Amino acid sequence: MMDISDNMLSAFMCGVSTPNEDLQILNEMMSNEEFSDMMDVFHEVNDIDNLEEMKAEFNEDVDCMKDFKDYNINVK
Amino acid sequence: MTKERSLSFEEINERDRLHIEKICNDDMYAYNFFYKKCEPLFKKILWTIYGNDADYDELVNDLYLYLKKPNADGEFWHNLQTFDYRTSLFDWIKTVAVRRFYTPNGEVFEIPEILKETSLLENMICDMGVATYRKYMWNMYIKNKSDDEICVLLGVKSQELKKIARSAIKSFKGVVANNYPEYSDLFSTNKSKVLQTERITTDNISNIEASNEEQTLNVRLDVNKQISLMPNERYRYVMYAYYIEGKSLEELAKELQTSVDNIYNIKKRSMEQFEDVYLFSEEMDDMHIYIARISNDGFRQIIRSIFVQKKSYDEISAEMGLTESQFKKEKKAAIKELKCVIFNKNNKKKS
Repeated sequence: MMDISDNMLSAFMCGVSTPNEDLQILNEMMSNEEFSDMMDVFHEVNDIDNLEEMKAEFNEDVDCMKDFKDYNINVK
Repeated sequence: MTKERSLSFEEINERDRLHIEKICNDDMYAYNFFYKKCEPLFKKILWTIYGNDADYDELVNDLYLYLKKPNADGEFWHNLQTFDYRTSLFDWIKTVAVRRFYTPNGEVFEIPEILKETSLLENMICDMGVATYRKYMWNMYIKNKSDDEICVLLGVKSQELKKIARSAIKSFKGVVANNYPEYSDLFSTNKSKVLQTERITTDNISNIEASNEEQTLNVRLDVNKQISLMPNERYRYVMYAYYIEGKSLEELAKELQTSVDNIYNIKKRSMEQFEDVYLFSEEMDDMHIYIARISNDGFRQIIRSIFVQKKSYDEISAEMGLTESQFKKEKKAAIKELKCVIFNKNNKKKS
């Protein structure tokens, strides 16, 4: 499972992985029950309601210090 | 109203580069990014995996430290900088978070020994709303049937059973948290990195003496045994290392690769779980002495009814003329008072 990098897994989940990576991940799923279970969890997470909206909101805002500044003022 | 244009992949990539650059150069930004901006995503992931039973702070701290880990040259955020921009940063962080949060070895669900073969466990399962989940829990933990047998009974394939099992356990924990909150810690499992620690044995017996101004009660605990009954592996380890081996918080923080503040919180939660395990174990020979020392009549009645007379919650609330929510509130306060008496804690709020 350690051979599967975060980049590879992320690419696989987003459908942009290479055929070689696909094969590696599918082999791992066949041979490693824990990994296969984790892949089920990935699919459950991808089915979360409003995930796309959350992603769009995440991508829109580059200045995430704004909230922090507000928080800082409140602390004072 | 015009619909806003979606960002192109290249634009998202550019923004992601900006985020990573800022994270690597500004600790405040990094903190705000992971603890504020990513909060909705992390909460959703944790909810999906663990329902309401996850230790959010501990898991997010663990993820933060993992991403911030330095490389061989001492440059921080090594793992974050391995991001290869093939996907969006959002998708990558989601992947890393699921991977870090989901630890199958630490997720083993076990019914505590003290609850096995009790009617209380049966009641907990019967309280579950979804028939399939209820049947799964009943056959697995009351009838002790194998996975194959349960597949036949439920008419599902083994792959489907895994999903049912996960959801059933999540649902069960939800029932326990809502209807039997004082037992909820007994079912909590290790959600964070599985520690490769030696399992605690029950070879050595230690005693704890508790005393107060009015009366000295010798509370003889088989501490090691009680610690070994704690369901959370990390808590078990912290209790053993801190209280039995005498390690300092700083030593533990270094060993577990986390901050001293985090270790302090873990230690606090470990002690709470230890108290719960002790309270609901069969080792409580002196319960009547502790009950007698509870000053509030109502609390005394509740504790006696639960622990000595073993009455159901419905019976007790009916006898005391309390609504369900009033009873829950009173029970919580009564158990808190009982813990103060047993563990010689000061229940008064700090001024």
